[in-house]
Amino acid sequence: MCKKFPAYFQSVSSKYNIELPPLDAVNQPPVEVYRACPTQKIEKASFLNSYEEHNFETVVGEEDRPSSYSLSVYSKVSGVRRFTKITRVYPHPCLIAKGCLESCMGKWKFSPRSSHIDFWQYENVPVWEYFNECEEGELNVGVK
Amino acid sequence: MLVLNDIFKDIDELEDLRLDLILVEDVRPILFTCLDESKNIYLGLCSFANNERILWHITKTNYDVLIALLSDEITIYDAFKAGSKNKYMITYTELGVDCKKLTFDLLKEEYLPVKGEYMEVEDGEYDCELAEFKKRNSVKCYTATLNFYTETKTVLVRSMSHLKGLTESRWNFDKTSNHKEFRDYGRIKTSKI
Repeated sequence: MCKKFPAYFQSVSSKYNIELPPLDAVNQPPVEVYRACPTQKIEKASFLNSYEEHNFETVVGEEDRPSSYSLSVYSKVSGVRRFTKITRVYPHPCLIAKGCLESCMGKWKFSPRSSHIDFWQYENVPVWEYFNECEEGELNVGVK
Repeated sequence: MLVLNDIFKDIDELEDLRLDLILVEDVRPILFTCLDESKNIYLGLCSFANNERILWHITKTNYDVLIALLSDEITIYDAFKAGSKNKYMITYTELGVDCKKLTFDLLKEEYLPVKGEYMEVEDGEYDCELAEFKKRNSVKCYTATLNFYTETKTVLVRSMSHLKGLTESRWNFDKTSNHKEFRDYGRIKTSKI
């Protein structure tokens, strides 16, 4: 099956003169990531990118940011846990899913400063099916 | 592209505020510090963001609070509650920037960090930030020469607020020497201790 990004990527790219996904996004090697599930279930609705999560609108003033069209995941469970503690956007405690990003799913880009990763998914790939609920013990890994 | 420093420029009281260090990041800074021109430190958080508005809360704070936060000695909620009595609530919409100054008890809980939760810092995770905060927080003492008519005395000064407290009494500065730290108060004779 031909992997392609959502159709709106092209119109957004043209409209805001940005690359979607960015040219330096990668799809190798596979990377283990964590995702906070806003619906408290590992399902499609918990794996919508920011644009689709907000009903095909971006956060005000951020229309020209490639991150506005990505799914936020974290390479460390501490990163995603911290996010849910600080901002109440997602329920707390939030179900955290663990999975692995692979080339068949899309492309991603690491944040230089944190464990946050922007993930641009291919269309019609059931990303959530590659994730499982984080085990209780793993949620506390690394905590002093 | 929306930039925090541009947001601050539109706020009278915060126009010289600049983003300092990002402590937690998502697609935008979620927990961060800022500095103003007087090198006062602030703690900021991005409380909410959707297609209509972005909401930030900012508080003037001190390095003891930030060091305690990154050392898991206080919760994120308490770190934000600490610091200045008044907090800034900044809203950005398509129409522009709005800023309100509110006491902590007037802030909506739904926009504040979850109570009772710590940063849960991993070993070495914030070493760079902690080192920077500790460096900035190192106590510097200056001697200030004050005068009142024919009387002169030399005192130890640690901060601008300390100096202000002294000069609100009867003492004035000796204007014969210079130190940039207290430029708003004219010239003082200083030597670092």
